[in-house]
Amino acid sequence: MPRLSVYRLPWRDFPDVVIQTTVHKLRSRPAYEQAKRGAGQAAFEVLQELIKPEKIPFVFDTVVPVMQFDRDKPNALPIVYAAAIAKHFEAYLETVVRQVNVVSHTFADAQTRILGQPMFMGKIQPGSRVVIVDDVVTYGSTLANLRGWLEKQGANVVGATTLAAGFGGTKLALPDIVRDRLLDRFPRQAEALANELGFSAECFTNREARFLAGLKSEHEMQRLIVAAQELTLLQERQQSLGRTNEIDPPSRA
Amino acid sequence: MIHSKMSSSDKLKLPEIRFLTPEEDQHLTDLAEDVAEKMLGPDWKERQEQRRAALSEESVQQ
Repeated sequence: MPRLSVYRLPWRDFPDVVIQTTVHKLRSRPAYEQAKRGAGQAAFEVLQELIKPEKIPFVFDTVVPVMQFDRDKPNALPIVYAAAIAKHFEAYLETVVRQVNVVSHTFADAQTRILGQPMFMGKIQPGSRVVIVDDVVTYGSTLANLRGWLEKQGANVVGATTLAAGFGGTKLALPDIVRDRLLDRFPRQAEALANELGFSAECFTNREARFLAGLKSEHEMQRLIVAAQELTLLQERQQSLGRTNEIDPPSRA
Repeated sequence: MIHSKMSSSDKLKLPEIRFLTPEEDQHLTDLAEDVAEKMLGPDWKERQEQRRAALSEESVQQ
Protein backbone atom coordinates (compact mmCIF):
# COMPACT_ATOMS: atom_id res chain seq x y z
CA MET A 1 0.00 0.00 0.00
CA PRO A 2 1.31 3.54 -0.76
CA ARG A 3 2.79 5.45 2.18
CA LEU A 4 0.85 8.07 4.09
CA SER A 5 0.93 11.21 1.96
CA VAL A 6 -1.20 13.40 -0.29
CA TYR A 7 -1.82 11.90 -3.74
CA ARG A 8 -3.36 13.74 -6.65
CA LEU A 9 -3.69 13.31 -10.37
CA PRO A 10 -4.25 15.82 -13.18
CA TRP A 11 -7.95 16.28 -13.75
CA ARG A 12 -8.25 15.32 -17.42
CA ASP A 13 -12.01 15.35 -18.12
CA PHE A 14 -13.24 14.68 -14.59
CA PRO A 15 -16.98 15.50 -14.47
CA ASP A 16 -18.57 18.18 -12.31
CA VAL A 17 -19.70 17.13 -8.83
CA VAL A 18 -23.37 16.10 -8.72
CA ILE A 19 -25.17 17.87 -5.88
CA GLN A 20 -28.58 17.37 -4.30
CA THR A 21 -29.46 20.71 -2.69
CA THR A 22 -28.10 24.08 -1.56
CA VAL A 23 -25.85 24.65 1.43
CA HIS A 24 -28.54 26.83 2.98
CA LYS A 25 -31.24 24.17 2.70
CA LEU A 26 -28.89 21.49 3.99
CA ARG A 27 -27.85 23.50 7.06
CA SER A 28 -31.47 24.48 7.73
CA ARG A 29 -32.47 20.89 8.38
CA PRO A 30 -33.25 20.51 12.11
CA ALA A 31 -31.03 17.46 12.56
CA TYR A 32 -28.05 18.88 10.63
CA GLU A 33 -25.84 19.77 13.60
CA GLN A 34 -26.41 16.39 15.25
CA ALA A 35 -25.58 14.63 12.00
CA LYS A 36 -22.32 16.57 11.71
CA ARG A 37 -21.50 15.37 15.20
CA GLY A 38 -21.80 11.70 14.41
CA ALA A 39 -25.47 10.84 14.90
CA GLY A 40 -26.39 8.34 12.19
CA GLN A 41 -30.14 8.61 12.79
CA ALA A 42 -29.94 12.42 12.54
CA ALA A 43 -28.07 12.11 9.25
CA PHE A 44 -30.79 9.80 7.96
CA GLU A 45 -33.40 12.42 8.92
CA VAL A 46 -31.44 15.15 7.15
CA LEU A 47 -31.28 13.14 3.95
CA GLN A 48 -34.93 12.10 3.89
CA GLU A 49 -36.79 13.89 1.10
CA LEU A 50 -33.60 15.78 0.29
CA ILE A 51 -31.80 13.38 -2.01
CA LYS A 52 -32.62 11.77 -5.31
CA PRO A 53 -29.98 9.12 -6.00
CA GLU A 54 -31.22 8.82 -9.59
CA LYS A 55 -29.64 12.24 -10.26
CA ILE A 56 -26.26 10.48 -10.25
CA PRO A 57 -25.47 9.68 -13.90
CA PHE A 58 -22.26 7.67 -13.50
CA VAL A 59 -21.69 3.97 -14.18
CA PHE A 60 -20.04 2.55 -11.08
CA ASP A 61 -19.86 -0.48 -8.80
CA THR A 62 -18.40 0.99 -5.61
CA VAL A 63 -19.27 3.94 -3.38
CA VAL A 64 -16.62 5.50 -1.12
CA PRO A 65 -17.69 8.12 1.44
CA VAL A 66 -15.35 10.65 2.99
CA MET A 67 -15.07 9.06 6.43
CA GLN A 68 -13.63 11.77 8.59
CA PHE A 69 -13.56 13.43 11.96
CA ASP A 70 -14.53 17.09 11.99
CA ARG A 71 -12.80 18.46 15.06
CA ASP A 72 -13.79 15.97 17.77
CA LYS A 73 -16.72 14.15 16.16
CA PRO A 74 -17.22 11.93 13.10
CA ASN A 75 -19.31 13.38 10.29
CA ALA A 76 -22.24 10.99 9.70
CA LEU A 77 -23.60 12.73 6.60
CA PRO A 78 -21.24 11.34 3.92
CA ILE A 79 -21.58 7.81 5.30
CA VAL A 80 -25.38 7.86 5.29
CA TYR A 81 -25.49 9.51 1.85
CA ALA A 82 -23.09 6.89 0.49
CA ALA A 83 -25.16 4.06 2.00
CA ALA A 84 -28.29 5.48 0.36
CA ILE A 85 -26.51 5.56 -3.02
CA ALA A 86 -25.14 2.04 -2.55
CA LYS A 87 -28.63 0.80 -1.74
CA HIS A 88 -30.25 2.51 -4.71
CA PHE A 89 -27.67 1.30 -7.25
CA GLU A 90 -26.92 -2.03 -5.53
CA ALA A 91 -23.28 -0.99 -5.38
CA TYR A 92 -20.49 -1.96 -2.97
CA LEU A 93 -20.20 0.38 0.03
CA GLU A 94 -16.53 0.73 0.95
CA THR A 95 -16.12 1.50 4.65
CA VAL A 96 -12.40 0.85 5.09
CA VAL A 97 -10.98 3.95 3.39
CA ARG A 98 -10.79 6.93 5.73
CA GLN A 99 -9.20 10.30 6.25
CA VAL A 100 -6.43 9.84 8.80
CA ASN A 101 -5.76 13.45 9.68
CA VAL A 102 -8.22 15.89 11.20
CA VAL A 103 -8.10 19.24 9.44
CA SER A 104 -11.57 20.60 10.18
CA HIS A 105 -12.44 22.39 6.92
CA THR A 106 -15.96 23.32 8.01
CA PHE A 107 -16.12 27.15 8.16
CA ALA A 108 -12.34 27.33 7.56
CA ASP A 109 -10.84 30.09 5.42
CA ALA A 110 -9.21 29.44 2.06
CA GLN A 111 -5.64 29.41 3.36
CA THR A 112 -6.50 26.85 6.04
CA ARG A 113 -8.21 24.65 3.47
CA ILE A 114 -5.24 24.78 1.11
CA LEU A 115 -2.66 24.18 3.82
CA GLY A 116 -4.63 21.53 5.69
CA GLN A 117 -4.64 18.82 3.03
CA PRO A 118 -6.54 15.65 3.99
CA MET A 119 -4.66 12.32 3.82
CA PHE A 120 -6.32 8.96 3.33
CA MET A 121 -5.62 5.34 4.18
CA GLY A 122 -7.39 2.04 3.51
CA LYS A 123 -7.45 -0.41 0.63
CA ILE A 124 -9.72 -0.35 -2.39
CA GLN A 125 -10.20 -3.17 -4.86
CA PRO A 126 -8.09 -2.35 -7.97
CA GLY A 127 -10.32 -2.01 -11.01
CA SER A 128 -13.30 -0.74 -9.00
CA ARG A 129 -15.36 1.95 -10.71
CA VAL A 130 -15.90 4.37 -7.89
CA VAL A 131 -18.14 7.29 -6.99
CA ILE A 132 -16.77 9.36 -4.12
CA VAL A 133 -19.18 11.01 -1.68
CA ASP A 134 -19.00 13.94 0.75
CA ASP A 135 -21.52 16.24 2.44
CA VAL A 136 -20.33 19.60 1.07
CA VAL A 137 -17.70 20.51 -1.52
CA THR A 138 -16.14 23.95 -1.26
CA TYR A 139 -12.52 24.08 -2.45
CA GLY A 140 -12.51 20.40 -3.42
CA SER A 141 -9.30 19.45 -1.60
CA THR A 142 -10.88 16.51 0.22
CA LEU A 143 -12.44 14.99 -2.90
CA ALA A 144 -9.25 15.62 -4.90
CA ASN A 145 -7.12 13.77 -2.37
CA LEU A 146 -9.58 10.90 -1.91
CA ARG A 147 -9.66 10.48 -5.69
CA GLY A 148 -5.86 10.48 -5.81
CA TRP A 149 -5.58 7.92 -3.02
CA LEU A 150 -8.03 5.53 -4.69
CA GLU A 151 -6.55 5.89 -8.17
CA LYS A 152 -3.06 5.36 -6.74
CA GLN A 153 -4.28 1.87 -5.80
CA GLY A 154 -5.68 1.10 -9.26
CA ALA A 155 -9.31 2.14 -8.82
CA ASN A 156 -11.09 4.25 -11.43
CA VAL A 157 -12.91 7.21 -9.87
CA VAL A 158 -15.65 8.01 -12.36
CA GLY A 159 -17.35 10.84 -10.49
CA ALA A 160 -18.15 12.62 -7.25
CA THR A 161 -21.36 13.61 -5.51
CA THR A 162 -22.11 15.76 -2.48
CA LEU A 163 -25.25 16.92 -0.76
CA ALA A 164 -24.42 20.57 -1.49
CA ALA A 165 -21.66 22.83 -2.78
CA GLY A 166 -20.13 26.17 -1.94
CA PHE A 167 -20.00 28.77 -4.73
CA GLY A 168 -18.16 27.31 -7.74
CA GLY A 169 -17.37 24.13 -5.83
CA THR A 170 -18.95 21.67 -8.23
CA LYS A 171 -16.24 22.19 -10.84
CA LEU A 172 -13.23 20.32 -9.49
CA ALA A 173 -11.30 20.05 -12.74
CA LEU A 174 -8.82 22.87 -13.31
CA PRO A 175 -9.74 24.75 -16.52
CA ASP A 176 -6.78 25.60 -18.76
CA ILE A 177 -7.56 29.32 -18.52
CA VAL A 178 -7.39 29.27 -14.71
CA ARG A 179 -4.19 27.18 -14.70
CA ASP A 180 -2.58 29.60 -17.18
CA ARG A 181 -3.64 32.62 -15.12
CA LEU A 182 -2.12 31.06 -11.98
CA LEU A 183 1.14 30.14 -13.70
CA ASP A 184 1.38 33.55 -15.39
CA ARG A 185 1.00 35.34 -12.06
CA PHE A 186 3.21 33.03 -9.98
CA PRO A 187 5.32 30.94 -12.36
CA ARG A 188 7.70 29.58 -9.71
CA GLN A 189 5.66 29.82 -6.54
CA ALA A 190 2.58 27.98 -7.82
CA GLU A 191 4.58 24.84 -8.59
CA ALA A 192 6.62 25.21 -5.39
CA LEU A 193 3.49 25.40 -3.25
CA ALA A 194 1.91 22.42 -5.02
CA ASN A 195 5.10 20.40 -4.49
CA GLU A 196 5.14 21.27 -0.79
CA LEU A 197 1.54 20.05 -0.56
CA GLY A 198 2.43 16.78 -2.30
CA PHE A 199 1.44 17.20 -5.95
CA SER A 200 2.00 19.32 -9.05
CA ALA A 201 0.35 22.61 -10.00
CA GLU A 202 -1.87 21.01 -12.66
CA CYS A 203 -3.55 19.03 -9.83
CA PHE A 204 -4.91 22.08 -8.01
CA THR A 205 -8.70 22.20 -8.00
CA ASN A 206 -10.51 24.95 -9.85
CA ARG A 207 -11.37 26.80 -6.62
CA GLU A 208 -7.90 26.41 -5.10
CA ALA A 209 -6.27 27.78 -8.25
CA ARG A 210 -8.72 30.68 -8.52
CA PHE A 211 -7.99 31.66 -4.92
CA LEU A 212 -4.22 31.45 -5.42
CA ALA A 213 -4.32 33.35 -8.72
CA GLY A 214 -6.16 36.13 -6.88
CA LEU A 215 -3.48 36.65 -4.23
CA LYS A 216 -2.15 40.18 -4.32
CA SER A 217 1.58 39.54 -4.26
CA GLU A 218 4.37 37.01 -4.50
CA HIS A 219 4.95 37.62 -0.81
CA GLU A 220 1.51 36.15 0.01
CA MET A 221 2.35 33.04 -2.01
CA GLN A 222 5.69 32.87 -0.22
CA ARG A 223 3.95 32.90 3.14
CA LEU A 224 1.82 29.94 2.06
CA ILE A 225 4.87 28.02 0.86
CA VAL A 226 6.70 28.56 4.14
CA ALA A 227 3.62 27.50 6.12
CA ALA A 228 3.24 24.38 3.95
CA GLN A 229 6.90 23.49 4.58
CA GLU A 230 6.43 23.87 8.33
CA LEU A 231 3.26 21.77 8.32
CA THR A 232 4.98 19.01 6.34
CA LEU A 233 7.79 18.90 8.90
CA LEU A 234 5.32 18.80 11.79
CA GLN A 235 3.36 15.93 10.27
CA GLU A 236 6.50 13.98 9.37
CA ARG A 237 7.76 14.42 12.91
CA GLN A 238 4.51 13.14 14.32
CA GLN A 239 4.51 10.15 11.97
CA SER A 240 8.11 9.28 12.81
CA LEU A 241 7.30 9.38 16.50
CA GLY A 242 4.30 7.14 15.87
CA ARG A 243 2.12 9.48 17.83
CA THR A 244 -1.56 9.82 17.22
CA ASN A 245 -2.28 12.78 19.47
CA GLU A 246 -2.59 16.34 18.47
CA ILE A 247 0.12 18.29 16.72
CA ASP A 248 0.57 21.56 18.46
CA PRO A 249 1.71 24.07 15.86
CA PRO A 250 3.74 27.06 17.00
CA SER A 251 1.31 29.68 18.21
CA ARG A 252 1.32 32.86 16.17
CA ALA A 253 -0.85 35.89 16.08
CA MET B 1 12.17 24.22 -3.46
CA ILE B 2 11.79 27.84 -2.50
CA HIS B 3 13.15 28.80 0.89
CA SER B 4 12.94 32.23 2.29
CA LYS B 5 13.89 33.99 5.46
CA MET B 6 10.72 35.22 7.02
CA SER B 7 10.24 36.76 10.41
CA SER B 8 7.96 34.96 12.86
CA SER B 9 5.51 37.84 12.90
CA ASP B 10 5.21 37.67 9.12
CA LYS B 11 4.44 33.96 9.02
CA LEU B 12 0.95 32.59 8.63
CA LYS B 13 -0.77 31.00 11.58
CA LEU B 14 -0.66 27.28 10.92
CA PRO B 15 -3.93 25.35 10.95
CA GLU B 16 -4.30 22.79 13.69
CA ILE B 17 -3.84 19.35 12.20
CA ARG B 18 -3.68 16.07 14.05
CA PHE B 19 -3.91 12.40 13.22
CA LEU B 20 -6.84 10.18 14.17
CA THR B 21 -6.46 8.33 17.44
CA PRO B 22 -7.11 4.55 17.45
CA GLU B 23 -10.31 5.26 19.38
CA GLU B 24 -11.51 7.72 16.75
CA ASP B 25 -10.63 5.26 14.01
CA GLN B 26 -12.74 2.62 15.75
CA HIS B 27 -15.52 5.15 16.20
CA LEU B 28 -15.63 5.67 12.40
CA THR B 29 -15.75 1.92 11.85
CA ASP B 30 -18.58 1.48 14.33
CA LEU B 31 -20.56 4.35 12.82
CA ALA B 32 -20.17 3.07 9.27
CA GLU B 33 -21.11 -0.48 10.21
CA ASP B 34 -24.13 0.70 12.20
CA VAL B 35 -25.34 2.86 9.30
CA ALA B 36 -24.73 0.10 6.76
CA GLU B 37 -26.55 -2.48 8.83
CA LYS B 38 -29.58 -0.23 9.27
CA MET B 39 -29.74 0.90 5.63
CA LEU B 40 -28.50 -2.15 3.75
CA GLY B 41 -29.69 -4.92 6.08
CA PRO B 42 -28.06 -7.13 8.72
CA ASP B 43 -26.35 -9.33 6.14
CA TRP B 44 -24.79 -6.38 4.28
CA LYS B 45 -21.23 -7.37 5.08
CA GLU B 46 -21.68 -10.89 3.77
CA ARG B 47 -23.32 -9.64 0.58
CA GLN B 48 -20.65 -7.00 0.16
CA GLU B 49 -17.90 -9.59 0.47
CA GLN B 50 -19.61 -11.70 -2.20
CA ARG B 51 -19.73 -8.68 -4.47
CA ARG B 52 -16.09 -7.90 -3.73
CA ALA B 53 -15.09 -11.48 -4.59
CA ALA B 54 -17.03 -11.24 -7.85
CA LEU B 55 -15.35 -7.91 -8.64
CA SER B 56 -11.97 -9.39 -7.88
CA GLU B 57 -12.61 -12.35 -10.19
CA GLU B 58 -13.81 -10.01 -12.92
CA SER B 59 -10.67 -7.88 -12.72
CA VAL B 60 -8.44 -10.99 -12.85
CA GLN B 61 -10.22 -12.23 -15.97
CA GLN B 62 -9.72 -8.85 -17.64
